[in-house]
Amino acid sequence: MNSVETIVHPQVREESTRARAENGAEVVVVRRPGFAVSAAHVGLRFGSNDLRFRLGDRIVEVPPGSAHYLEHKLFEGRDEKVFDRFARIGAEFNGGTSFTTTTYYFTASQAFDAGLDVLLDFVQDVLLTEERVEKERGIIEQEVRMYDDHPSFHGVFLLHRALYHRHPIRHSPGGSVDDVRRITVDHLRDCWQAFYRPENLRIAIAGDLDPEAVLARVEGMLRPAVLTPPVERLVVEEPPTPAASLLEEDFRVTRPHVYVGWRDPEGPGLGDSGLRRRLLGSLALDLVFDLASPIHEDLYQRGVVDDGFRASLSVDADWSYAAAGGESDEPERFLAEVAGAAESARDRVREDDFERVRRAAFGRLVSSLQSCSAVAGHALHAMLQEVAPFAALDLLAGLRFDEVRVRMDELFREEHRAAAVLRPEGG
Amino acid sequence: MPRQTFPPVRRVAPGVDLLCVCEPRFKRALLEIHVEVPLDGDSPARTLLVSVLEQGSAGHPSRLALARALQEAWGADLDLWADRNGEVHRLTTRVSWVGESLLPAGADVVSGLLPLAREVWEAPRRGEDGRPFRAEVVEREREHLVKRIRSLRDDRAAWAEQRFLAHMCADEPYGRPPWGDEAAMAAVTGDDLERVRLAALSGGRVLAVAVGPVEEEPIEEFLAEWFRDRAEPPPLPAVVQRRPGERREVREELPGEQARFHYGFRCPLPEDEAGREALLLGVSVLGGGVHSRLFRKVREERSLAYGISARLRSRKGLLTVAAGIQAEHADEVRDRVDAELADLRRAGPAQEELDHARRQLEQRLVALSESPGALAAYLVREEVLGLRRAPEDRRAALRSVTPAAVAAELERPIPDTVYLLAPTQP
Repeated sequence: MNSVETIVHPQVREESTRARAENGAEVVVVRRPGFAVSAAHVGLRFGSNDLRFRLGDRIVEVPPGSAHYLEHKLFEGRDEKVFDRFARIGAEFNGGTSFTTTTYYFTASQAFDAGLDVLLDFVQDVLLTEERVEKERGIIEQEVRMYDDHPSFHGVFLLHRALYHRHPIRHSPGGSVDDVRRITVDHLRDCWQAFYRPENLRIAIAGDLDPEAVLARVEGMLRPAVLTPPVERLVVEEPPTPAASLLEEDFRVTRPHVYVGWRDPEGPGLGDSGLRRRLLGSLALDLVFDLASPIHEDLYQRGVVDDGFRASLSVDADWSYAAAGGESDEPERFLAEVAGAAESARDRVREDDFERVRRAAFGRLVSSLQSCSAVAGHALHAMLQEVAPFAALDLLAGLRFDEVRVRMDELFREEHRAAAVLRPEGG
Repeated sequence: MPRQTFPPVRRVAPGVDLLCVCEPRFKRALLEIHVEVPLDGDSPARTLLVSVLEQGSAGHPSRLALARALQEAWGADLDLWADRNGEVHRLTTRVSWVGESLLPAGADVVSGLLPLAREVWEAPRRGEDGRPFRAEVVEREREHLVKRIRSLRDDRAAWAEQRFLAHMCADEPYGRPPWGDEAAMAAVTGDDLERVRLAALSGGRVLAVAVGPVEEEPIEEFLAEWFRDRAEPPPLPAVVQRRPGERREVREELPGEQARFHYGFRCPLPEDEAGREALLLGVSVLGGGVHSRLFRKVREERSLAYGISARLRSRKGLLTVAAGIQAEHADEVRDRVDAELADLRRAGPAQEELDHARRQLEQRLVALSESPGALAAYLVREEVLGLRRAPEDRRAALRSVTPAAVAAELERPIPDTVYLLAPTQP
């Protein structure tokens, strides 16, 4: 391992050791004396948004859902199902595909080394055949149908299609049933060859472990870097303003489901500056829509929103939007009032509100890092965002009220706004 | 593990018990106060009561005021909810807060939070003209709940489970959703809310559990002071155990993408410790995860489902299997459940299957020491079932279970109802 560095984080009372493997992979080990269950998370920046890329001299286009399909196939293992290998040591495991990343993890109270070997083996080795790919199709179709039955899932992606013209975030990570039916073994092989390279892996481990021994074991499991053929993500050019001010669809809902979103013209990028922008956006959203906001309270008291009202921020390197949504019998009123409240919020927030919201955010973040799996997951996410573990706590402490007001002003603008409404079928 | 033994149960007031695990390693502390009353005709009123109490108290007269107090306390949480647990209507108040050792020196969080939890129950914001609650708040929250009940079918998975239980446990308290129906909710008045509030505080059985960086004595004193004037509450009614006759098959339709399959068995818990662990392992081998028969046969071999699982509803005494499938595969999935159960009864699980299930359960017991929420849920479950087993003791008991014992305990489940919520036929 190269460039080994150990840091103690006093705010969360954690000690992390960061290292870069010979092949370029990054590793973080968080030593947690006294914890009985250890965790390892591995991930890479390859997700459902990676639909078009250059692989050597070829341009590859894959259907939406390909990254998720490949995640499923990795669990089959080359010679033995990963399920069986983890079951033998009693480990809990899972994986996940987001828009930009794929992650795999396990937790174990015994035989952690054996589990780590399994994890690092199957993410670096896959056997893709037509028969194996075909076998998975029915399972994934059922997973996609399960999500498709959720109105909120459907509504969020309708909002994505209103906010973005061409960005792949318009597609859900699993794709549609039709997308799943189009995915072939060749699509998955191309994705594997382009992105599942040992040097792209990011590995986070937490537990009552000796970091030096863990790093040595990881180094021993990692395969040499695969530097060819070269890979280039082909980015879709996305106009800076929403694709539609309002999209409506009939859906299987009893009452209208209403969503309003505000997008940034572009994403904040990665690294500390991206994280800082994300934190500012998150605080801005809390100041407007948290239960402790008089803006939210006013909307609630006047019956514009009910207790199902929710707001969230979705950000990665090349997109960023805030959204609010809920059920309403008066969608037009909901949209007008919620949008108006957010877009006039800048002048209604006060510095003491900001301090209180920041204090709460600190408390929630610091206490969310409880289990080894939570800590390892946090550290992996940080690496995939190209920031140091626990960097969010330091950045949060340094944010200023005037910066949040500026962020609110940038984000909550009419020209950045789009909306989506699911109306009851036949209603 | 934070403790190798089940914590002592402190009787702090009549009908009020406290379980406390002081574990400074946890970064967040929590105190859950569960008030248990029978599931009955007052359940809709209790469901609404919880929503109304969240709208403010005498000292914090709005939802906003409560939320601000929690933000001031470094992101503390105060949550109230009502749900069905066995045939009990459980009203839960959960307070959680950041361990003070992680906060700046001198930060005092807990001293304000415990009184806040009491205040929302004991001193709700009153209405004008001596009304127990503000009429406009009752009306607004009732309307929200009526609309939410009307929208329940929008969540196909939750709706299917509710309909399945309603069919399987028709005429039993467990078959009634605690929120009732639209008409029952619409009929609830502010006076009803006050009546069920007082009845819950005076006559409900209270189980409190505190876990994390907490001190037992102040919590014990807090609860003792709160509940000191109550009398011993009546015992909760016994769970209705119905012996099924012929297996029933119910099919309902609703527009949607995926059919939801449920299969229910009557399955009272064994009296003895060894039998309980053997049954639990048997259910795990049948459908307790990726190592299970159903996962392997239905998902991995036949690609019929993304997930299929079996679970034991211990307090009611049911074994249920659930899956999301295509409707045309329902008979095949039902027959597969029957076949695997029959095979496990006849031959028992293979030693390897049993080992996989045992290791998974053992790992989950060990993992209780890593999560205040999971540990609290475990302690409450053990207490309400009257078992009070330490996780370490359960691990030892699991190790002595044999395949033959599993096979014997799996004779216990009796098929009752197969339910399918299928997408509407075009």
